[in-house]
Amino acid sequence: MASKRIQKELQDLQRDPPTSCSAGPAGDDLFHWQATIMGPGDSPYSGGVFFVMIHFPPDYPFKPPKVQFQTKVYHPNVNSQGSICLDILKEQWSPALTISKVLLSICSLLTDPNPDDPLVPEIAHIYKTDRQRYEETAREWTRKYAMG
Amino acid sequence: MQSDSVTVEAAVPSRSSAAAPKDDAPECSAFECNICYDVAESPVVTLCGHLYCWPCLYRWMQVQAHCQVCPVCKAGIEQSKVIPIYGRGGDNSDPRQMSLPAKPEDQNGPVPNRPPGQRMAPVQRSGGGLHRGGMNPQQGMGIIPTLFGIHQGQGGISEPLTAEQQHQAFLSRLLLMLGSFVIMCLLLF
Repeated sequence: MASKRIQKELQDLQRDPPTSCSAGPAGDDLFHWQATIMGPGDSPYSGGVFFVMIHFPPDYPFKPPKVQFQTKVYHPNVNSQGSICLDILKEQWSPALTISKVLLSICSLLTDPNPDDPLVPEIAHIYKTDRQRYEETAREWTRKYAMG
Repeated sequence: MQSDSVTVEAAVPSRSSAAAPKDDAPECSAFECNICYDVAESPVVTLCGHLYCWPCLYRWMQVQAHCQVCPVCKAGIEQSKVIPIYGRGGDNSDPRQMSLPAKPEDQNGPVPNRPPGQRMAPVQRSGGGLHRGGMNPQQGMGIIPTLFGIHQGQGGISEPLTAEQQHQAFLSRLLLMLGSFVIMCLLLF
């Protein structure tokens, strides 16, 4: 069932690709995808291209996919390993969600960080107290790691 | 002029028939399970109206045992309140006797039968004979219940009221409120 559903998602993505992200199998393994997210224009990640690794569990879609940034991101909800703190990837997962919707949620997380449920408390603190410094560092990291 | 309209008419069916195979997929998707994205097998619908294969929904209910919610809209769901859909095709056997073949990847044990449909007794309308034969029962029922602010609930025909009926209902309720207010004033003072 999992592979059939993943195949359908892939077809939907090819038929109606979302703006600002793309995704597809990394190799022959249908359960292992790579995606790209374009930094949202209204965020300090603008202009960057972020690589994301997606791993589908064997009991997908009953269990959420594992989604991880491969590109370094300076964000309160993304740690140095690339792990993302997003409710729909954990307890709020629903089998009606798709990779396309998950990527879209990550895009909006980039625009609107959630400092009240941080994965990196230091960045969350800076985000809350010194927004300008946060934006500068995020822009710098984007230039350094997500461009060219 | 006439020949133009004829060619247009002739062109329309041929175009629609040519487009039919392409439109097939989106048309079909209204009957696709919201979990496996395939055409629903042993279809069931939740009270919030979302369609699933019974094996898919059952498995999801097993996964989130503590708080069961609809995958699409997160409304509460209960196994006993799921409605089975019995179409003409597909299920040739009696759905109550049918046991679903356990899928090879199902490690959670076999899936039980779908919950049965709820069969209500047909509603008998005692006042129906008073009205003329050609009259819609809705029209006959309309005035009196709305006068008392009663909405036709379960078992009744709940078509949306026309603007005129709504206006009438509003006026009658206003009158009723005014009347009761006057009576209260009379009683109190």
